[in-house]
Amino acid sequence: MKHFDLSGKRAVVLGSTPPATVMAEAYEEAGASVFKIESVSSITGPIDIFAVATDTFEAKPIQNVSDEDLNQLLNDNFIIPFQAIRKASQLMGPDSRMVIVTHVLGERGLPNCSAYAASHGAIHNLIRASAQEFAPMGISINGISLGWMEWMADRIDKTDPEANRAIRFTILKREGQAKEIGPLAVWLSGSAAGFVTGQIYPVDGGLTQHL
Amino acid sequence: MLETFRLDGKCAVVTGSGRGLGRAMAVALAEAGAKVVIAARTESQIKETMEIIKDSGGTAIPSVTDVTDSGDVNAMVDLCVESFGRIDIMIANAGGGGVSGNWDFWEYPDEAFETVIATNLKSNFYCGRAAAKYMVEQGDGGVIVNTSSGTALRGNKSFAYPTAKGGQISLTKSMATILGPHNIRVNVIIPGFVAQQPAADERERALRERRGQNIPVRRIGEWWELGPLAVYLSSDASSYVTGQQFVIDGGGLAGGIGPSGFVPNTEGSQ
Repeated sequence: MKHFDLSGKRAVVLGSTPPATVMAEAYEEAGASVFKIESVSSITGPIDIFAVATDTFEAKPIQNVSDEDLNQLLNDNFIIPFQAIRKASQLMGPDSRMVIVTHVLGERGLPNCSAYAASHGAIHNLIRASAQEFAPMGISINGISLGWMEWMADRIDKTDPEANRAIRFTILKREGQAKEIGPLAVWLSGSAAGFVTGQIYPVDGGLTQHL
Repeated sequence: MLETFRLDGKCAVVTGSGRGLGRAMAVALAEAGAKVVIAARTESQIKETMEIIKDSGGTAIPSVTDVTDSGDVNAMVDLCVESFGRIDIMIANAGGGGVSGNWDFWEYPDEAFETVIATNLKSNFYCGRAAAKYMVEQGDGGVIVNTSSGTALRGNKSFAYPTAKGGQISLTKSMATILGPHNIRVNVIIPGFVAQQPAADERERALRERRGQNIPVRRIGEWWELGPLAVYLSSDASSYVTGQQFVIDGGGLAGGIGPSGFVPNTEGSQ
């Protein structure tokens, strides 16, 4: 199991979301020295593993999305990760790893999620494009895209009698738990993932894989 | 968290594990604690894999199996259950025939097409069906992993192979949908250019190096890199992951247009 051992690695985790907490704990358990930070200006090198897990959600019909709403979502879900990736890449050397937490709505549409889905779609293609630029530098970058997770209860309207239909639509018939993200982050950050880059791996209970 | 990768007490079948990526996955599963049925067509290769596993203290039994024969596949899964008491993991990895003859498309014979489909696609159905039957009966879930190919997502002159490999992806998603309520997770690994074994000589090493230059990470993959991914997908580490495709290709497919080497001109933007 040496490929899941991150001893001697310096890991920086940006974000204050449940995935950020879980990934920091998982890296620590795997032996890395972990620095959990909440702003791009706190990023310091050298970095072997860089994880970003920021996320802001808001559901509104597109006509009701104000410029402020749009700026807020794009800023938290796309611009901050972009700036973080740009800065971290200058502090990372050969055989280093980036892991970006995103949402499966970056690939799919859903009513009242226009700005949110678009912000995550931007991250998905940022991962694919920057993977091409980072590869010659020895930096891999991959995404973990989440479906409906336990802490996302606020995204489901409790007054709606069919409020749990999003959960019923997953193949596994349940919401995901934060702890189910850690092992994937460790694999993607370890010595076995050197040939993996530019990919986005869903942890979504099969949400996006059926009609 | 790390203990979720362990497979102690789990019973697995890995097809095509006499060599290459199948062997790497079987060895990794055994290292993580699983008992493994080593299934392949060639007995001598099965023995080599078993020796590697036994030398490191693992448990493995042999099954000479032709995965294009559903009777053979059923017998292979029966052997796992008879010998180990149950089946928890099915890695349907056997396949091949990536280069399928020199015929023009309009002259391509039925038999050649059917052989490629049987080896790569029907075999996955046979393995999944045989394993799921026991797993549903056991009532406590299970894991099925298919091995496809990057060609599944792109066209290729040897068209029968990508056709079969693409079918594996749809089969994976459908099986995940059908078997999800039984907590049987089904995922597919999609390797890009991955070497099956260490280079035999300098010429092969040079060829691999040249081929690697078209891939974003500037190298082709190596067999052992599939092992930890197989362990992740076979274990509780991936408990909320099903119906997914796991690409391991050095970034080739991420480009969408890659691995073509095309880079937009940056002149004047510095």
